[in-house]
Amino acid sequence: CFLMSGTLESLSGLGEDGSSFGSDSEINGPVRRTDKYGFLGGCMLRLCPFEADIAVAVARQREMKWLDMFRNWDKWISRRFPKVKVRCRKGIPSSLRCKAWQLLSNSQELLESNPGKFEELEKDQGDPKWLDIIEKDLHRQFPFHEMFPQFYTSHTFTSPLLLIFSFIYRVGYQNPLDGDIFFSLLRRVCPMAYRHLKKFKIDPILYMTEWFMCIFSRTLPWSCVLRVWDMFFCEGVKIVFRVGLVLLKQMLGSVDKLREIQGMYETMERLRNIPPEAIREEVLVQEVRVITLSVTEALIERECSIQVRKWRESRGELTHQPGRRLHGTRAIFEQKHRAAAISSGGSLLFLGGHVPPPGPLRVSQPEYLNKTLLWREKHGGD
Amino acid sequence: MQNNRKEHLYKILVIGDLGVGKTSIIKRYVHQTYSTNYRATIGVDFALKVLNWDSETVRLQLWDIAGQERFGNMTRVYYREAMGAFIVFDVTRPTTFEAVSKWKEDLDSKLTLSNGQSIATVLLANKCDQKRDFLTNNSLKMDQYCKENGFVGWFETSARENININEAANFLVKHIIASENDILKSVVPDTISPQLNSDKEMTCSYWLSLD
Repeated sequence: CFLMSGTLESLSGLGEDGSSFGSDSEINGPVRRTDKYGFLGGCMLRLCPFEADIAVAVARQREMKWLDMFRNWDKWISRRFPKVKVRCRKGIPSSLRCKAWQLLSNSQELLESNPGKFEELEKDQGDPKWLDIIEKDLHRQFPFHEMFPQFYTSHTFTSPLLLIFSFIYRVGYQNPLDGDIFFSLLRRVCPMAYRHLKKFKIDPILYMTEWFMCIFSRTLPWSCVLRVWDMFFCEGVKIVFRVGLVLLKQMLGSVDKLREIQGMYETMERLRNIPPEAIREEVLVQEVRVITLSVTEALIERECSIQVRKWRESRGELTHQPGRRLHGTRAIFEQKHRAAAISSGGSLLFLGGHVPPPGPLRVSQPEYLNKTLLWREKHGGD
Repeated sequence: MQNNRKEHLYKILVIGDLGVGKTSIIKRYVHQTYSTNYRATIGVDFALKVLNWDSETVRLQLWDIAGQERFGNMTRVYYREAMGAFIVFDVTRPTTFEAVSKWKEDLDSKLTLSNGQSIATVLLANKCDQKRDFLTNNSLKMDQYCKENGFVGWFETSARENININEAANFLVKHIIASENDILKSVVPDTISPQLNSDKEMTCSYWLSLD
């Protein structure tokens, strides 16, 4: 699975084939060279200088624990979910990450309960409207990944990466109120950063669009991105809020830091180009854990309804109803069981159902996303 | 006051459809670099360019706004307080030219100067180093188009070959300064009418020449 770190392919791919992948110096000249995550170059090739180093014995132990959870997944989610959450926060072992994400996002079940659906979707030409959107999404994600050129030139819908990239974008679908919600949370969590941004009239959409849309994949060093996504798949959209708040706290949370960035432009520069050495993987995760105490799921929900009300009062009805978002694995699990109780054909609800509204980890997704998930089920094993 | 060098800060928008070369133009203009690697902008990016303008300093804050149409409802925030704009299209892709008027309408509907005028906007026909097969071959038609759509002028540019980018920027700055003066003068009844001037050295044509 390409999303996992340290795959053998990407390591052995080092300089193997003098590939025809362009001649731009930004991608390391004629020799094809990737980092351990399979990135060829560009700004994605930013290894975190403080990547957590886990002892082999610990890593092994964690793998065993995860394998055990895989065997009794439903039971773990229904009865021991807090433990699953803790384990996701510790970081999913890279060798099992692919499988774990499939289980956390429920894609595994999607495949199993819809035999033949993947093959059917694979033969489909695809709606030109979606093709167009996917095309736009392509370059936003990982143009410097080793698998990018190969799938991009083949340019077919069976290209797994193409679908996965789109999925990544879609998951990050942004609610128009997210900016207001986020800013209001910031006021509670870090008044200093809040005042600074307000002073220089820096609207949240100026920096958070990229954060929310790509779930930090263009912002953080890759090892941190994986850790954030481990939590995100498990706990849902609130993780995106929390990570964003932690970043603002770290970038704008002290007088010293603010002294250097007195101005709108200087502040935006800092937020758009967070230096990788400023982010320590373990510190980031720890801070997210700490902030959880003040930014609870209930608070985010409450803030959301406040902002919906304000919006209605000042601007009339929303064109996109924010609706209730599924907060991660547990919520997906519960919803699934409710749906199954209502209708015996409940699992089909997950395919092509037109259940508004869109939102992170939502139940209804465009067809091509289901294909993504199904493809990963089929081919993406360890 | 005479001792201090006067400083101007102008916010300039760079807008247009996806992949027309907005980021490349800015990179060329500000950093004098060009890369063939393409990475779509998300949301908005920023760059700063400092110019010596006669005896004054002009700081241009360039706002590189993502070309995705789906950001349409957010553009109001991006446009706020801008003084000038480039609308860019790709001469090899006619659809990007068709989108120009949409961008212009979006801009004018969301932003006006304090005197009610729309901000100075220059049209850039980018990638002119590549083969083009429409419109820009006919500069009279382009002039007409600009006049009808409220552009102060247009340039053929190439970020790759560094063609006309400085010229276009200087041209825009000139218009921004002029419109700023207009606003200041509007307090006092205006007695000076703009002269018509055709500067043959410029590769673009324009009609609101300012001296």
